[in-house]
Amino acid sequence: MPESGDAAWFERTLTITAEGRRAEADLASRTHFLVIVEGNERGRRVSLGTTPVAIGRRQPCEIVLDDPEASRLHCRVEIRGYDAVVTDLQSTNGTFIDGTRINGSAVLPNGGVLRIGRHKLRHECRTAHEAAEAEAAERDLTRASEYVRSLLPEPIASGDIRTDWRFEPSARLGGDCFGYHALDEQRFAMYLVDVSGHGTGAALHAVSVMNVLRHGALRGVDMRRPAGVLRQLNDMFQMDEHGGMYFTLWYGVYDAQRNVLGFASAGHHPAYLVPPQRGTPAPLQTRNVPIGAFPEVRFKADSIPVARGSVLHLFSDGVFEITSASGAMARLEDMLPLLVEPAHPGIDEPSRIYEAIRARAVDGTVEDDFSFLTVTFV
Amino acid sequence: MEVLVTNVSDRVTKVGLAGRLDTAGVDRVEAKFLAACAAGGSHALVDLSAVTFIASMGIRMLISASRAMALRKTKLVLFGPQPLVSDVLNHTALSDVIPIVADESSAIALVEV
Repeated sequence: MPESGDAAWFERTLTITAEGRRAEADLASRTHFLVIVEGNERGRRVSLGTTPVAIGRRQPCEIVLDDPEASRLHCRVEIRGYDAVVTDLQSTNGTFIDGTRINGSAVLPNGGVLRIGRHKLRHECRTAHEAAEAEAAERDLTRASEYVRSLLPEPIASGDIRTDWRFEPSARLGGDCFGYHALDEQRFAMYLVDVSGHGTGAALHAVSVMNVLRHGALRGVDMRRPAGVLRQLNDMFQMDEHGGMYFTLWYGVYDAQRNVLGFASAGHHPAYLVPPQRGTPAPLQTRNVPIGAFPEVRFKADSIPVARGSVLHLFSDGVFEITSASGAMARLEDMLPLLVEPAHPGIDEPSRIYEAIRARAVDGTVEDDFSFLTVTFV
Repeated sequence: MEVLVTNVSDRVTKVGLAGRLDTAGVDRVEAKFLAACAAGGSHALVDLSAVTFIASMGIRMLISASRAMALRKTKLVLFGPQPLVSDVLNHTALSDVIPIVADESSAIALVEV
């Protein structure tokens, strides 16, 4: 160990101090933010300072959340030194940091997630430049997300075939997409696509597939015949030509004159047809590999008569692949009873099921893309 | 997610996977997994008994291995999936293309035919 008079000691000391000062200067140039990453106003960015910010369901909170599970005055966030500190204000449903309910005050680390009711807010500590870039990226994502949502058809509230749906991507963009449209006066097609993976790449691929299906843009293919549709899609979308992505698909065509539903699924779990008076759901699935996984595959189709008053539920695996409050992973059969539970007045079936799934999930979080389509044959 | 590669014989490699085969898990092991499956003309037995969950990226990894090995005319066999993993493999009909058996001895029997 050098003596304090040694030049080496002074040089070492100066290096540490300079690095320490650079780190302090870097921190001083940064601003703390809370960014809403789940819930209403996703993407909204609120800067934090030494003045505490109250969060709750009502004013005079500085951050007002339109959330029935938030208390009027739910918690307070303030910057103390370099930390964001959250204080629960005796909220009814609790304040959570990274999944753990807090008691009193706790530090919300940089990158940590604060959960209040159905809202999640991430703590970010960024320079002004970084914050501007993040906001620009967020705007791009919002536009892309709005475009994908614009491809989804409007629910059908009248007529012999009625539809409802719920669409909640896990990130801003996901690989799920679905649709339906009349093929002719007699036949009605419905379909759900789930591209492997998540995020922008999967969303782009899903949009490609959806636009082909929406416009029947399959050369030489009769869109009324599900097996032929799957075969042509498989030829068009081989995974080695599409970024290594495959997709699962459920495709059905209802013939309103014959009251028959023809369908084919590729790598997809069953859709379920619930008979009138909410009888036992019939699984509708044909054993085929996913689209794009292997070339030159023959696809199998099937059909089933449909009684008037039956309801078809078509959904992605994100609906049932949740971690329950007990920590166990749920399975498809765990959610099937929900399909025959009574309807709730004033809430559509897909939303009823979405809320039920959220209630079962740990931290109220549905981890994967949630797509649920209900078709009622009146 | 972990991967462990062992030689069963000079023509058969066993590749053990453990943990969650989700996006993060696949990112960690995919390169090593695919290299092990495609190595030197050997057949590959994939032990799924310690895989607790498989997502679409995990399925994609298995499909990629299968396609690569088909080109080399070697066999890929999966064995020992847990019920949750078995559900997903069943829905994707993967067993129509990649054999899936209950245990290691059954898997060895398939490749030594």
